[in-house]
This record gives sequence, structure tokens and C-alpha cells, in this order.
Amino acid sequence: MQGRSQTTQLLNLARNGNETALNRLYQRIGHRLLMLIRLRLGPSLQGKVDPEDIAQEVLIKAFSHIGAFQKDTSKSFFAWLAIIAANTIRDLSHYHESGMRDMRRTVSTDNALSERKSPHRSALSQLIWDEQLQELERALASMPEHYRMVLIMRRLEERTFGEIASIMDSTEDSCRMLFNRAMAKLCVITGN
Amino acid sequence: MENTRLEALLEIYIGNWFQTGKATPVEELCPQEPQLHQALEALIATFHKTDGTLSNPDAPDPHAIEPNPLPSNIWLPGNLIYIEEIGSGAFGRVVKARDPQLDRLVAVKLVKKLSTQQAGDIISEARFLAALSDPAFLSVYGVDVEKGAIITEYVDGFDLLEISDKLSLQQQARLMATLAKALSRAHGKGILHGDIKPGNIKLDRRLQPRLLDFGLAQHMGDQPHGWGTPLYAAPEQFEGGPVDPRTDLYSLGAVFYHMLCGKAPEPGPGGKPELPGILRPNLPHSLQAITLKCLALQPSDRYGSALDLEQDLLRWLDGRDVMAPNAIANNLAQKLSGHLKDIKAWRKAGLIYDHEERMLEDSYGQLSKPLDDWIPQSRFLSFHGIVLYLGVSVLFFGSVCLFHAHHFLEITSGWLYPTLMFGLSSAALSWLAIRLKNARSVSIAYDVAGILIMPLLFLTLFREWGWLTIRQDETRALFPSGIFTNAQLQVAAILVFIQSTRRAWFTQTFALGAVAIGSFCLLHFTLILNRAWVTHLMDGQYHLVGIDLIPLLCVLAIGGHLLEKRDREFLARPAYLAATFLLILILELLALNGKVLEVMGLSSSAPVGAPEAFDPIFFDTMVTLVFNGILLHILARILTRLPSPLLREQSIWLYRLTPFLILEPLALMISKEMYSPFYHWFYLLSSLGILWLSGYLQRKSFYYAGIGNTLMALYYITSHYQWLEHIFWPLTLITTGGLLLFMGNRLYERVSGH
Repeated sequence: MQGRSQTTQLLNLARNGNETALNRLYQRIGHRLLMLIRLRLGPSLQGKVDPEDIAQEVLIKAFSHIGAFQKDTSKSFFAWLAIIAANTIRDLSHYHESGMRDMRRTVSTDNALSERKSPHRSALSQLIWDEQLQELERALASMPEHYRMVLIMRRLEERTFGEIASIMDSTEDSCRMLFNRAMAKLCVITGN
Repeated sequence: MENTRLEALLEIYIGNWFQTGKATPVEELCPQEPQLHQALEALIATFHKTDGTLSNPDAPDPHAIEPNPLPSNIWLPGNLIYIEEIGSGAFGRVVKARDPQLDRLVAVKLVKKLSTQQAGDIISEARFLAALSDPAFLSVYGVDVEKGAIITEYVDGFDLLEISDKLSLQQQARLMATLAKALSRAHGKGILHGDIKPGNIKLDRRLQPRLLDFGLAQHMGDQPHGWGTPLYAAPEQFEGGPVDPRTDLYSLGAVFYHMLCGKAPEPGPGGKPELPGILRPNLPHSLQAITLKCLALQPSDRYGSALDLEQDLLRWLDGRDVMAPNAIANNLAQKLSGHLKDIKAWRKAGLIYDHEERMLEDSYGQLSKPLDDWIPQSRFLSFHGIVLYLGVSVLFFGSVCLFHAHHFLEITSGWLYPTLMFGLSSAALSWLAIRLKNARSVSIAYDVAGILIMPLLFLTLFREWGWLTIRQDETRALFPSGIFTNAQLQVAAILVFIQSTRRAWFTQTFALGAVAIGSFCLLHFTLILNRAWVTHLMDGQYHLVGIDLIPLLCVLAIGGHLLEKRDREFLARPAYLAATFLLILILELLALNGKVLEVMGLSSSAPVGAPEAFDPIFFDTMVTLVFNGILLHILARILTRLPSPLLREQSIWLYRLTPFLILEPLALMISKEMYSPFYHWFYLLSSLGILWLSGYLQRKSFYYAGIGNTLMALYYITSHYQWLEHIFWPLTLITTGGLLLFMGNRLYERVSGH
């Protein structure tokens, strides 16, 4: 758990306003978080919202509920962020589906960012985009919806098969099988 | 087929891996299919790699920052909680910390090694900060002299250079104005900052600037104890000269330069930095002028105080003219000064003539002039300027047509229609002129158009409403039919004069200055209407009109001189120009019936030609006209020797006109055929003389006048003697022409040394 304790230390420093720690955290998780958000957004929301914008929101929410993460030691920090991201996107799609226009969403990305702390923006834009991760994202995006979702929920959000089964309205065993099949498919795509 | 089989095998492997955490050997997965082993091995490797990428984000980070929250070498006063270091330098370091009691962020400046000297510095810096209760300076929360720490507010925002390139020019100028105002408060308390640089300026979230680091601050009059930062420090700081508020202004100007140009001012040749306008081509001249005035090497050339700088920046923000002199003109003038010295030397060495010296000086003078809004004086004739003034002219002409149609032809009737046309357009143009004051040339053209229409509006209103209908006797009225009375004309002229002068004074432009002077002349013409100059003109009493104009000439000449002395060039120049033409007009009017000679007792008493043909008045007129030409030429020569450049400019008009003024009376006289044939020859000789003088004086005006008049004289002689009836005369002329050509050739050979 050396990784987790390091993350916790970084988190504490960042919460106290240490900007170096904040930037370091972004470097560790930023690109992965953005990938997750892009995959999660789905066609109905893509183009309407900026993934970086959501990443900002996720991080701000995460910092304000950091206590919950520290109590719950079952998940990694990223999995915890991934679930916040999933919830944020779900709320967002509700807004869009019900036709309600949230004024906060209609401000341009630049305005929305400038209202917040500027280092967030620079840290995100300075991300060195991992080529391996980019390849993975392309492969995931090309897969059928249920394959992609089971992989995301199991490996990125670190949910149990029980949780996944209730979300997907299926049984634990069939989710496990679906996961194995999806993983094999992903490997075949990336292997080629 | 093979791929599907491989995928199924991998699925089994993955299932086993996640269930048992163990890798199943390939041989076990497909013992009957050895041909698949290699491909499956590769896929299994891909799986482990992919799964590794997909998960496990909390792997230890080899670059993780030092988790120890408080470095052992940092001591913080009180119970402040260390957050991070935000700056360090020769003095020590600045850390960001949290004050848990008041739950606020603070910045703590910690001095490295504490000597008695530094302890004193710490106290003085804290005291400087405490003395300055301005939002642009940091609030000081406390000081620990023993440990060498100053606790101040923490500014959560941006470094100046981090965002200055994203700010608009207006924001940048406003920022500078705020800093200048803050500095002027500090200076007012006798405190000099001494180290203004971009690194010492932070902007808070509302983009309000804060001036940090009073570590090098000092009281005015103290011995300078620091050098500031190179590139931003004033020259006197390096040279150990006395420092005063203008030292801080230099540094602030350097910061402004950096914001505008994206780099600090690096001294180029002559110690001057590159022009901001070159680094940033669209930079307004005024902002460049303000920056360069701050960066003047001599403190005496900078703004007198930070308040002056603030006011000039605010003037620019309001769209008004700034006090800093036009930088382009200044810079050029400086570059040209060496050339001007050369020209003097060339003249002394006899390499150039007097007039060439003057010509070169004039040309250089033109270069150092600003791009004028007044077309005749502008160095650069822009198409928008041409179109604007064409618009003004056409609008004015149209208005005069409407005015004429209304009052003289009575095509329209009533006051409403013309009043709407003149009043609305004049008011709209004047309003637009004020609204568009940032687009200077457009604003001025609108202003001029608005003012030109005004007299038509006033006259229409006066007449339609029956105001000022005091009738003069008919000889004194400009309009004997009574359409307009003299009083109406005079009051309209006064109103236009007041408005045009007001606008000229406000905009300080030559175009409106010219309109103001023009309306002043118009006012004078209407005022002397009561002296019946119209009747005088009709009766040929020209000299009386001339005399009536003399007061105007005096007022223009003296006024021009006074205005020039007070640096009101925009009025002085048109005044001089008007005076020049008025002088010519008056001299000619006085000459027209020979009254001048009569007054001087020089009227011709002895007939030169046939007595019966002699008209002494006409003769006197001719003589006076010639004398006028000579007089004006002498005057032009005097003008070029005067120190006033504005008066020197006027000499060019006199030079151009004088040869014609001298010769034309002769031509007129001969054309009357009333005088001795001697005059024909006198005219020819005078023309040739003028032509010869053109080479001697190097004047083109003489050359044109000489050639033209020579041909004219030959024509008169030919027709007088009826020489065209003899073949001899044309042959003589042709031979003379041929001889002249040959002579020209010889002269050329002599000059070119063949």
C-alpha cells in the first residue's frame, strides 16, 4: 500500500494549498481520469461538454469529500474519483435528457476554468498524453457498449461483480463471464 | 477461425487468472493445438500489459515530492502551519503558511542569516509596509525581529508576466495607472520602493495589482543602498546618482514596456531600448510615448511624479491626448540631428547652396513632424483622409445648394425643412465627433462638417424667426434685397467663430484650427460690411477695402506670434497662413488704383509715352504692382531668416508668387497698347532677367515665370510690329532658338568638363 499512502500524503498537502502536490496528483491521475470521462460520456453528451471541465468538477468534489476516501480503504483514489465521475456524468445526462439547460454548462470552457483556480488548467493542459493509454482508449471506444461498461466498472471503478450485476440488471456469474470475454476481446484488439 | 479459438482460450486464461490469481500454462490450455501456443503466449502478454495499464493507478511514484511537511531548516513564527515555499532569493525565502487561529493564509518572508544590519532591515521593511495602507501594498500582520521573519497577507493570484499578455491594452494601462497611484502615495510618505520589477508585482483574483518586496525601499534623501534589478533599474541607480521618485518611475516604465512588448527593455545604441512600436506594430503611439517618457535616461526628461504618469494613463484611457510627446517624431528628430549638422557643414564647405540647405532642412523637418490630421500638413496622404474631406466638401456644397434654393430661389418655404436638414445634420455630426473621439481623423472630419453647416442653420433661423432685422442703408448691406441683414450675418459669424475656436482648443488639431481662423476672418469681413466694402469694391475704391483689412492682418500676425509662443501651433500656423495671403491681398488692393504712390507723393507726373494715352492712375497701379512683387520677395527672404519655423513655412508661398506679381503688370500694361513701344522691350528684358535670376537664385518659380513671360513678350512684340508679315522675323526667332541650343550645349560641355 505504499502507493496509497503516498497518494494520501499528496492529497493532504494539496488540500492545504500546496500547489506542487496538486500538480503531482494531476500528473498521476489526470490523463487516466480524462480517458474515463471521455469513454463514459457517450455519444449524446460528446461535443456538448468538455471532458476537462468535468475532470475539474470531479476533482473539486473529491477534495471537498476527501474524508470519505480516507475512511474507505477498500478502493484506490482513482477508483474513488472514477465513481464521482460516473455520478457527475449521470447527473449531467439527466439535465440534458430532461431538456433543462443548466446555465453553468453553457458558459464557455475558458470562462468556467478562469473562475476556478488557474493552476488546474495549466496542469491539465500540460498532461503528457500516454501513448499506451491512448491506444487503450481507442480499443475501448471501438467495443460494444456492454463490453466497455463492464471493463470500466470492474477495472477502473473497482466495483464488485455484485454491484455490477445490480447496475446491469444481470447475475454475478454472467457479469464475470462477460468481463472475461470483454477482456479477451480487448486484448485481441490491442494485440492486433 | 483461428482468432475466435484464440479469443476463447484467452478468455479461459483470464477467468482462471482472476479467480485463482495464477497463470495457467499454455500447454494446459490447448494440449492438442501446439500451433496456437506462440500466438496465445503473445496474447497473454498483451493481457497483462493492458490490464496493468487499465488498473493499478496507485503504483508508487518515483517522483513523489518530499512528504515531510516542514523542512528542518525552516522555522516559522507562532503556530503557523507550513504549506510550501513560494519564492527564494539572496535575502532568504518566502513561504506560504496557514494561520490556524484566524484560519487564513499568510506569506512569511524569512531572512537567511540574521545580522544586526539585517534585523534593522527587517524592521524597516515591516515599517514601510505598515506605513502604506493602500490596497496595492501588502498588509503586514506581524514581525519577528529575533528570527528574522515578516508575516504578511498572502496574495492568491497570478504573477504579472504570467497573465499580462492575456490582458487588453486598456487593462494593462489601468493596471499601470493603479500602480502609479499607489506609488505616488508611497512617494507622498517619503518612501521609495527601489526595486520595481515584474517579479515584485502580483495580481489578485480580481486582477488588482500588489506591489511586493520593500526590501530595497528607502526614505527619500537617504544614501542609496541597493542596485535594484538590472533591466528594470534606472541608470542613476547603477551610477550611484541621487535617487528620487523618478527612479521608481523608470522601473515602472520598464515593467510597462515588458508588458507591452513581451520583453524587458534592453539598452540598445545610445542606451535607448528598441521602440515598443517596432516590437508590437499596432501599439498606439500615445502608449509608446508614455512608456518612453518613463524610460528617459535623464530623470528630468521623465514624468515629474507618479501622479503625472497616472493622469497621463487615465487621459489615454479616456481617449484624450496624452502629455508625453509624440515618440516617433521625437525619436526621428533625435536621429536627424546629426544629419542637420552635416547639412550646415556642407553649406559652409560650399557643397550646397543656401536654398538647398533650406530644402534639406525642410525635408528633414517634415520627417520629424507627426502624421498630421490636417491634410496640407500631413506627411502621409491617406485615402481615408481624402474620402473624409471629400465627404465634408460635398456635404457642405450640398448644404449651400439647399440654402440657396431655400432663400434665394424660394424653391422650398418655411423654416422646418431647412432647419431639420442643417440643424439635425450639424448636431448629429458634432455628436458623432465627440462619440468617435478615439478615431481621430474621422472625429475631426465630422467636427469640421458640423461647424461648416452651422452658419447656414443660424442664418435660416434668424431669417425665418425674424431676428436681428436691423436694416442698414442699402450701400452698406451685403444683401440689398434684405434677405439677410448685416446684423444677422455678424451674429452668425460670431457664433460659428466661438464654436470652432472651442472645438479647436479642445481637440488641438490643425484642421479645426484652420476652421477657427477661417471663421475669424469671416467674422471680420462681416464686421466691416458696415463700412460698405461691397460698394467700395463696385466703385473701384479698392484701397479703402484694403485699409479695412489691415486690422485683421495685424490681429492675425500678432495673434499667430502669441499663439506660437504659447505652443498653440494648431492655431498659430493657420493664422500665419491667413496673414500671408491677406498681406498679398491688401498690397494688391492698395495697388489697384495707385493710391499708394499718391499717398507717398510719388504719383507719376511725367508722361513716359504719348501724352494723350497716359492714364496716371493706371500707370501708378502698374508700378505699385511691380513694387509689390519686389517687396514680397524681400519679405520672403526676411521670413526665411526668422527663427520661427512656422513663419519660415510661409515664405514658400511668397517665393512662388513674387515673379508673377512682378511681371504680370507689365504684360497687362502692354496688352492695353497705350504706352511707348519701349515697354515691350522692357517686358522682354525683365522676363529674361527673371529667367536669368532663376539660375542664379535657383528658383523654379522664377524659371517658369521667366519662360512664360518671355514667350508672352515675344507675342506682344510680334503683334505690335506686325512682324509676322515678314519672313525675316520667324527666321530670326528660329535662328535665335538654334543659337541658344548651341550655347546651352557649350555651357554643358564647360560644366561637365569635356
